[in-house]
Amino acid sequence: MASIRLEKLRKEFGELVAVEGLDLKVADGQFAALLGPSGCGKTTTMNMIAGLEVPTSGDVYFDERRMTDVPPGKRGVGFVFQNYAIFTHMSVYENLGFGLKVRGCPEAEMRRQVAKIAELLQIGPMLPMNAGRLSVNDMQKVALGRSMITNPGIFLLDEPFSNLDAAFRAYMRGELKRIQREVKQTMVYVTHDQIEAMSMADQIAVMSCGQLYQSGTPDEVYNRPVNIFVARFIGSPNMNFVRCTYQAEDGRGFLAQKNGDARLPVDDRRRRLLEERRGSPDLILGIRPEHLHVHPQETPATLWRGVAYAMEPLGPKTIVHVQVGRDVVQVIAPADYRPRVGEPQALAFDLEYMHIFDGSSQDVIR
Amino acid sequence: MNNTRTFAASLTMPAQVVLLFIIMFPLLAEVYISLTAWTPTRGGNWTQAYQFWDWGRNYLDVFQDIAFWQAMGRTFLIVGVAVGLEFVLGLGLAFLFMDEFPGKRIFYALMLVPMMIVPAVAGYVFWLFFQSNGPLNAIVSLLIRGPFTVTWLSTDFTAMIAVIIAEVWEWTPLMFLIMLSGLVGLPEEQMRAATMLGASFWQKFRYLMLPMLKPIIVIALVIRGMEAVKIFDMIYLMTTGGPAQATETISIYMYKVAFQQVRWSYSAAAAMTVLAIMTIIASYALRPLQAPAAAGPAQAAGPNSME
Amino acid sequence: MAKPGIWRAALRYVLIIIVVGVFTFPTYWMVTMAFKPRAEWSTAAGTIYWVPQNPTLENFATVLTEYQGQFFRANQSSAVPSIRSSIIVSVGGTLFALLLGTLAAYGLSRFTLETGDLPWYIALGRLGALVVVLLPFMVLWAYLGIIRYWYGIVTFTFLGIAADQLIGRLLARYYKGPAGSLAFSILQLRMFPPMAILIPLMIMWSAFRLVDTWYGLVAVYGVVTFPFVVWLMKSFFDEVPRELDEAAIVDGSSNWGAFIKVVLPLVKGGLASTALFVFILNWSDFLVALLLTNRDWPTIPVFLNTLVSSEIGAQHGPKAALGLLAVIPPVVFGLIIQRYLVRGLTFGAIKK
Repeated sequence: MASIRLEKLRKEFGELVAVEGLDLKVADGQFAALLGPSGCGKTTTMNMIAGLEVPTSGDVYFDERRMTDVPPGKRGVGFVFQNYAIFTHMSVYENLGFGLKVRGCPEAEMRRQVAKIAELLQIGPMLPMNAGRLSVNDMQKVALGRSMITNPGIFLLDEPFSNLDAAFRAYMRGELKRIQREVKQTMVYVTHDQIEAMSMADQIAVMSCGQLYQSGTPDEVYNRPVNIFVARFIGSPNMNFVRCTYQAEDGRGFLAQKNGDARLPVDDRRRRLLEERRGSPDLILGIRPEHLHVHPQETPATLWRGVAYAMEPLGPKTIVHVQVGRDVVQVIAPADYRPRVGEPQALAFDLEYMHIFDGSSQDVIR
Repeated sequence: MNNTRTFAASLTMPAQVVLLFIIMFPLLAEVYISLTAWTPTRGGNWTQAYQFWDWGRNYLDVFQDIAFWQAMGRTFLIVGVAVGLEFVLGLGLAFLFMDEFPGKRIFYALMLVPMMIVPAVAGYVFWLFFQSNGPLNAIVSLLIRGPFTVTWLSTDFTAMIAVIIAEVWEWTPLMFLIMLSGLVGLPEEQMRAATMLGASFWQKFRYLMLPMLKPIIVIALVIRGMEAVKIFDMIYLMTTGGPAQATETISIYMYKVAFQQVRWSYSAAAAMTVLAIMTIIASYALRPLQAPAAAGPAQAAGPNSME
Repeated sequence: MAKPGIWRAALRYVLIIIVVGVFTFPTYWMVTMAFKPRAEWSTAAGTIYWVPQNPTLENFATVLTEYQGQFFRANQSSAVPSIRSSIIVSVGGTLFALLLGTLAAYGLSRFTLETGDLPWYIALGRLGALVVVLLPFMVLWAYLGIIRYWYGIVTFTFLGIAADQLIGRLLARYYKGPAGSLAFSILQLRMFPPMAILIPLMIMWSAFRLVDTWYGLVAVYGVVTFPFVVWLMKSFFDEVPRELDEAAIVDGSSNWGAFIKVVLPLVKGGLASTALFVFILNWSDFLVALLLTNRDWPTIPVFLNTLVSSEIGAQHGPKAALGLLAVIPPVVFGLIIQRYLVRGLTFGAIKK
């Protein structure tokens, strides 16, 4: 098993810059997720780690050995493609054994290894079948097994479960995580589904438009996003954003809503940060729906007043859309909380959970 | 619904009538003549050939005719070698043309040209080419810095080679086109997966590309082979089957028997034999084409078509 | 990755240049020869001219104008009649094949099912049965002396159609499966060496006085190339969703109306490409024209052949000029329809 280090990776396709200035470290035995929307460059990055794409500049290191010039087949990397890419004209047995066959592995040994992997993935009875005729779920298992059989030091998976049905997807996630923990396999997992990333990864690298915005544990990207993009991408439903400006009054600081009258006091630490910083006077306040509390009547803790705008009963919980001024924020409320549209609502939250972002650079101001 | 039936019938009927007329009739006339000993020189119109009824002695003669079987053998030899060469060259060229490179379109167009040169004209050009004082010998003389005056078309062995070269020249582009379309259609992700698993180019070729290309290769070989057996134009213009009979293929043989020896009923019997042999071989070999080609009984048209 | 990549690319490029160069050389040779003056015609080593020094058009003039005695056979004055003949016959044959074939292709596309393998021995057997059944009738017709007249031929043809239908029905009763197909019969056509049926065809044609006429040749060309039309056009028709036909019919149009007003316009491109493809085939034909024409209507390949064989001296220039003229249409058309060449030459089995 090996560690991965990416140093200032850059990839251009003609005029288009797909990946830019990417630095990333994945420790040995870690499960890292490359998370981001379509077209953000995560697959390109993955291909560069694998060797299928050559970086325009920058380097790839495995265990601190420079891999940038090593051809893909010789890097000791296992790769699972989004569309499985299993060899449809061969049997399952031949698919699984392919990696061994091209290394000149003797027949008996190959048979043994294939049997072992088939057992592990529970596809034993399918060995003689033609791989092209399998169900989608089984094809994915074959794709996994095929890459695993050569014991690669690093495992790369490109949205491997996005074509599976939901139940099987959840099952495979669990299985994959279990295997990874057991074998302590270094894995890099590309996905656009933040729930997947949050539930599986030790480290999440959030990317957009070819840039790596933040790399950290799930806890870190959830609680301490470095910019609005990360803040918005992680968490479902999305974080609420309210535009405001800073006002100072009587030695105390306030955040004043731009599209309404709401005012929030800020503590001293933040007051100092806000007064000393340079940057746009426009601020954006972020608070997650799960950190907001909503009541029909005001309480001493109430910070915002608004009216119910819409409501989504989801079974175990309800999402209430509350209009504050001219902004609408979403709040998570208990399942039986069903306000009627137009009813006044009072919102409260712990100020510690609030994030403040620079209005133009979009970076966070702690 | 009757309207649809007659519509379908009227669509295919003209074709069927024409087919029947222009194929069946001559075919039957040919069988008829082949069973007699009639030739135009013996007198009478062909319709009176029954007067020379022979009960197919011609066929016996055909079986015993060495020249006939030699011509068959030569035909298959030429076809085998030529089509084989065309395939290998075509495949190799297809590999060369797989990626982009400057001027690709021009080279591609140039590569297609030989296929579109009228075979008769190609025959003439190669006739000129293979003259003992022709351009080919001139080129070789340049390369080996010495006189090179092989009489290509007057020597048995070399005439055969010359004919094969001409045929390969004319039809390699077709194989090239087919192979290229096959290669381009290969699933790229499977190739990448194989690369990631450590397969070298030759391993990918052997275990992935060839098996995936097999259907296309078979179709190409069968079709090309079928057409190649009929080879006539180029040989006629280059050597007319000569020197002596060195390049006499089956089509040329039949031509000579019919028009130089004027033995029409014999030539008919020979033609029928060739027809039978070729139909059996080709029907058997065409099976790979049948999956997309076969059509069952017409549903709406009913039984009044040739189904 | 850069260094080995460049060497590889360079090597590949060199290979391509060599191979394509070799394949282009014969054409190049013919083209340059067409423009060489008499003084440069020599092809012997040492005196060969690789590039024409004084390019001239006199070869073309020689071949295209009236020129008695020195160059041509006494009864043929220039290549112009053969060019005219080639054009008329090729265009005519193409139109004929298109007409027959497009209709049949539409029928095949819309009204037949793909049901899998047709056993080849069934198809053959059926053909054989037909021959065996009809042969005695042929002899009978001949004996009665009526086969030489048009009514004899026509009645015989109808007899043939009837026999074929009967055999088909008999077969369907005892063999549960696809018993025959127009599609496959059409494909079978290509299996016949032309020589095999050309003699009786010649006989038939002379009986109908169709030898050495343009319409006689057009008829044969049409039939010989019609399989290609069927297969090509069928593949194009298959690409037009059947729902369009049905929509037109639901809107009140007749079957013919749907075909002509809705479907045909959609395959215009395919039709044009098929036409060009078939034109090339007809234009390139040699054997059929050789046997079915004589003095009045030789096509260019036939004419070229008489030149080659009748020539005593080496008149390379004019012959090359004629050859060049002959290949221009196919090459130009071929390049125009290059996308469809594979489809056409493999009977629609392979679509790029």
